[in-house]
Amino acid sequence: MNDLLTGTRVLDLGRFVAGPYCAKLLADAGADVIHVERPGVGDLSRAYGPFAPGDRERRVSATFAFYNADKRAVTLDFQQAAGQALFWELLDWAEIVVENFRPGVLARHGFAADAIQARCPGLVQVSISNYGQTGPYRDFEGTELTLQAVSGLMDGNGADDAEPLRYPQNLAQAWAGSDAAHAALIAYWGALARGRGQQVDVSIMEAVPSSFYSLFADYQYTGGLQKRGQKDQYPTADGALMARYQSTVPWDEFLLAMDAPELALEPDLAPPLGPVLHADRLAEALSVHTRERPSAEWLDRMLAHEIPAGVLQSPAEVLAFPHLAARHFWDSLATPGGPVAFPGDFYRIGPEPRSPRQRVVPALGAHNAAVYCGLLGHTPDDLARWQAQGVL
Amino acid sequence: MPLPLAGIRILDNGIVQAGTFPSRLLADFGAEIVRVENYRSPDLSRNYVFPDGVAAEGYWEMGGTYHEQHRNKTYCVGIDAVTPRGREVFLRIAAACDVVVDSHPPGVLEKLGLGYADLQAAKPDTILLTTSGYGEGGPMSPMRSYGMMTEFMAVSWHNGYAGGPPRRGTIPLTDHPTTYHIAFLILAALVKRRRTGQGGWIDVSQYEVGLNLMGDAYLAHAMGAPVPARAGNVEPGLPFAGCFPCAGQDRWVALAPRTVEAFRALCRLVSLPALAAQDPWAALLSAEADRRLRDAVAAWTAPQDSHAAFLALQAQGIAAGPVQNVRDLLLNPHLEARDFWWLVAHHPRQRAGLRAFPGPAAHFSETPAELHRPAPLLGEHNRQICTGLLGYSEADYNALEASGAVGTRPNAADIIPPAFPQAMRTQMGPWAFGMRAKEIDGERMPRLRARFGPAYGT
Repeated sequence: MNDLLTGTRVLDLGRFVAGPYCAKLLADAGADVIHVERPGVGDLSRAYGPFAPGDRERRVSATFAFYNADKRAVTLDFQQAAGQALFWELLDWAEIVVENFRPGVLARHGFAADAIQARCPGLVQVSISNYGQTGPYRDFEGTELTLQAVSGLMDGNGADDAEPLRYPQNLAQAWAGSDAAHAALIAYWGALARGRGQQVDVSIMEAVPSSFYSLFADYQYTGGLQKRGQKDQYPTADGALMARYQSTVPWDEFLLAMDAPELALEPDLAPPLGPVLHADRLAEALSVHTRERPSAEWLDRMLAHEIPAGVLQSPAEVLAFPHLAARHFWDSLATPGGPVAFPGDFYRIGPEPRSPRQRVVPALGAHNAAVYCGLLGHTPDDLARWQAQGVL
Repeated sequence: MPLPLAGIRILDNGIVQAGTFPSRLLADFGAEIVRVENYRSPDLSRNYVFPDGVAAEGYWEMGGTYHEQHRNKTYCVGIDAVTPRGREVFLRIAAACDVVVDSHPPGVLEKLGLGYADLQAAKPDTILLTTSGYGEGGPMSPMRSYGMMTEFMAVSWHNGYAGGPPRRGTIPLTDHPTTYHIAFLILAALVKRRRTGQGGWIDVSQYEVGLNLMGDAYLAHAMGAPVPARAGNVEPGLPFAGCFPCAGQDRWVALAPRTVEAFRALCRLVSLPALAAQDPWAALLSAEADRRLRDAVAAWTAPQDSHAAFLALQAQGIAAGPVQNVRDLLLNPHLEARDFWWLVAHHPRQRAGLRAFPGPAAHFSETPAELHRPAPLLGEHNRQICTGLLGYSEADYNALEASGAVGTRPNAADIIPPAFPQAMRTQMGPWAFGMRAKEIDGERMPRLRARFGPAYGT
């Protein structure tokens, strides 16, 4: 945790990925984030896994841990009157609230955005949903797969002669979570300056294409639609290399880096048209050489020749990558099977390497007493009563 | 109510995408952007995607990628920062801004005498946001990299058809969400400065953004949990999902029933009522039943328009989505109803007329984002910024211009990129001259004009 957002108070009603990732970015930047879950079951991702092989009681779900470590975890049933009263107190406390229920769910429980805004005029309310809070698709069903389809993300992934392909994990949802995080702070900045919050409506369907940076010009200016398939990839002795000729490096230097200086003798392969017109022939000729060395060697070679490139990395290779160790990228998470590497911040503050952190995954309701008694001033007797009633 | 970021000024020294897009996001909500470019060798994104695929005299103002990425940015100043006077102009702009954003490779700013220490000397509470493929520090730091390369390193191993090899998609995946992450950090740094009076330097590794977007998968691997490699078009946790062909060339609909009711509705919809008796959450479908259902769904989708199939599935409560390409998105009724598209009127020298670009995905209830202008021309505001914001006299400004410290014309101004024959466009990569044409749709202009008005595209 760093100190960018120290003192910023965030209520996280998020579930699964999009809302929790938004609140995770805030929490990792130092905000005080209270994650509210349903009593008894909690966020569905607690049960979703995957779990470590020895974790028979399913105590640490990788999905839940990644998105919710270091938040304060409380439970609350806001279908009960006592829970609703507590929920209003939490809203009074918060400066930013993040939710990703289906549109209309909070309103049905008496928490319409306008009603919240009327009572908490300074509050920033961020709602993330599949299609948005308005429009003809508002109440439609969606999953990661179908959202990748409708948002335009899937269209460019896969083989050209096969069905479009879903990207792995919950990429579109995390993508929208990061959109919501920046939007939350835009509205928060306005609220700090002027004392007035507002409602921010972010949809996964829009968050993805809104950040496409050339595809819409491509189509409107040239009629170009992106093509599936992959380019600039070459097999190595143990994996694959991706390297691309570009005009900042001379052609013969590129060929030298690729260990194929003899191709300089074939003028029809030369840029600007050669790599385009004879892409297949060039790829075949380069592949003969790229197969002769392992990926790690190619990566060093491309680095030395200043050729933009990358290699395919398995998760094991990523976990052991010296670059990440040198940057102290990995944090540590305690699990029943011992400490494991936890992906750390993607940024550094100042020129010094970051200090790795010990991450903590809160148990369900772990901070009920700290929040309801310590923060909101209720008594341990109240807490016990609410627990007995199932409010907490 | 004024826009939330009114009063914030940002120096945008980004190149290509990850570094330039965050200031566009903030411009939409009122931040004033001073785009700084090396006018002698301006941004790569100016050199491709020309209107109708044809460059002409003054081509560097016609690049569609530039138009799309820089719409709504306030000013552009063309500087040669290698010259002492050009460097001084850069530093004076930086001193007048709250934030400096840069995405040149690590070390470039320092070499120009414009590193964090220099910027801090010009403005003690400056906020510098830098980004590169691998970040400052670490053995990979000097690596030249684009989004597709960090995607290859961080994401592609996990991406592929079930049982197939790893694949990379077409879009440079890590670039896009990275821009949201960077905008978030710029604002977080502003919040800290407001609280403490301190600025600072934040450096973003695009590779590490990729690792975070896949963070739960890497954590699972670190825990030794079983994680399937390359599962294809499935929905983990759901017993049935897929992507099915529809009528027309390369048209598809993806679907994934989320409940047993939705599963049964699907079985009935595709005329397999016998399967509707099953509960695949209780007992997984047999391979044979799964294949029968897939065949029946494909037979049902095959003659249909993908959008019609999507609506029919949603009407039954079945999660579904047509695989939309950019044309589908431009014509999509839901996005139209939500006013997602911004019609940008371009400068005559940009030769692009009126075009539709995405607005922000965040809809604000009190202060919705506002479109003010197209991408600025190269050096369009040299005089205005120098004599206004920076306080140079007219005579001093004229001397700056005469010395080449500021300018508007690239060194390669006379080398007009060739127009590629139509037949070649099918093979073009975006890094040659930007044609990514798989097909030229003869109906596109009438359809887009019907959608965006008769002035569209003129």
